[in-house]
Amino acid sequence: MPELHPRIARSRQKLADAIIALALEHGYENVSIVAVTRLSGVGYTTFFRHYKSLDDLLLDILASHFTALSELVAQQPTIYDEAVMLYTFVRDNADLHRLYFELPATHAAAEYISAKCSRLIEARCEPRTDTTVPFKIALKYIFQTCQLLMLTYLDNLHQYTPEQVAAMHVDLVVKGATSAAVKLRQGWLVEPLAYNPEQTAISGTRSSPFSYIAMDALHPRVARSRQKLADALVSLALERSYENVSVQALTDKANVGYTTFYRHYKALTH
Amino acid sequence: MVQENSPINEAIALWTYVRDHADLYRVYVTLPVEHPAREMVHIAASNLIIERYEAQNPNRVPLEVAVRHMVEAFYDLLVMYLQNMDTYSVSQIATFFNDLIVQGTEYSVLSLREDWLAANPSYQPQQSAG
Repeated sequence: MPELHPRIARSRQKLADAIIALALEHGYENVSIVAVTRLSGVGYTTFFRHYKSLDDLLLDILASHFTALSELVAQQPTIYDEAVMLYTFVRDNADLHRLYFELPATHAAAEYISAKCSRLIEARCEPRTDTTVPFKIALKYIFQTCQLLMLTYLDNLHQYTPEQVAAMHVDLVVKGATSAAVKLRQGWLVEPLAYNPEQTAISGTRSSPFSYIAMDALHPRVARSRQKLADALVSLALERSYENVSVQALTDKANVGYTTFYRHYKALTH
Repeated sequence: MVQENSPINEAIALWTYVRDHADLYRVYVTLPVEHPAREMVHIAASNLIIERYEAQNPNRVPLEVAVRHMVEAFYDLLVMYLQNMDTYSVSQIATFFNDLIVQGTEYSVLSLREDWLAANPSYQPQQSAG
C-alpha cells in the first residue's frame, strides 16, 4: 500500500479518532459528518476530499486495521501466536473494536470484515469427511465464537492478558471446532511446544501439561526457521563444541529471533 | 443408536421446541442484549450449564467464559436456524448443536460434574470426539 502524505494521514487519523469517540458516545447511527469534522478540527469540505460518507470513513478505518493485523498475524508460527497477536491488537485498539461490535451485521464495514475473516479461517481449515456439520456452518461458528471471545475480552480487559485469551481461543474455538467439524490444513500448528505458564495461567498455577498437536508436515515458515536453527547448531557445535553453544549465539547465527527459538524448543537439548 | 437420555436426544428435544415455537424465538432474537427477557433466558441457560459442568482447567479457561461461549453460540445457531428453517431439519440442527457446541466445548474445556452425573444416572455421556 503506498504511503500517504503525512498531512493526509494526520487528517484521516483525526477523523478516525473523532468518529470512534462520537460513535461510542452517541451510537454510530447518531453521528453526523458535521460533528466528526467539528471534533476532529478537519474542515467540512476537506472531509469530502477523503471520503464520500461516514460509512466510507469507517470502512477505510476497519480495512486499514484489518490489513495491519493480517500482516502481523502472517508472521506468527502457530495459531496460538496468531491469537496472541489478535488479542493484543484488540486490546490496543479497544475503542475501534467496541465500535465494530456496535455495527449491524449488514453494515458494509461489518460485511467487509466478516468476509475477510472468513477467508483467513478458510486458509487454515478444511472440511472433515467424518462429520455431518456443513463446512460453511463450521466456519461461521469459528468466526462467531472468535468474535464472542473478543467481546468477552473487551468486557474484561483488565482481568486477562492477550496470552491468556489466546489460550482460551485455542481451547474454546480452535480445539472445539477441530474436534467436531473441521481439520486444520496441513502444516498449521495449533500451539507452540511450550507455553510460558506464567503468561497463560490465570491464577498463576496452571497445572495441565504442555500440549502439542503434531501435524503431518510443518508449515513452510516454521520448517524454514527450524532448519535454520538446526544448520546453525551443527555449525556452531562443530566450531566451538556443543557445550559452548548458547541460545543467543544460535539465534544470532540462524538469524532467528531469540524469543522465536522458545516457540519451537524448550532448550538447546531439545 | 440414539440413547434414551443422551446429549443428542436432549438436543433434538430442544430444537423441536424451537421449531414448534419459531415465532416466539423470532421475537426473542430481535430483543436487545439488555432486555430483561433476554437476560432471563441467558441466566437460566447459564445456570443449566453451571449445574452440569465444571471447568477442566479453570486457570486456562474459566467456567464463566466457557458458559458464555456456549450460551452465545447457541444464540447464534438459533438465529441461523430461524433464517434457514426450510433448509435444515430439526435432527440436522440438533446434530450441529451437539457436535459443535456441546461436544466441541466438552472436548477440551468443560467436564460433566460428578454430582450431576450421580443425580442423573440414566444420562449417557457422549464419547469424546476428535
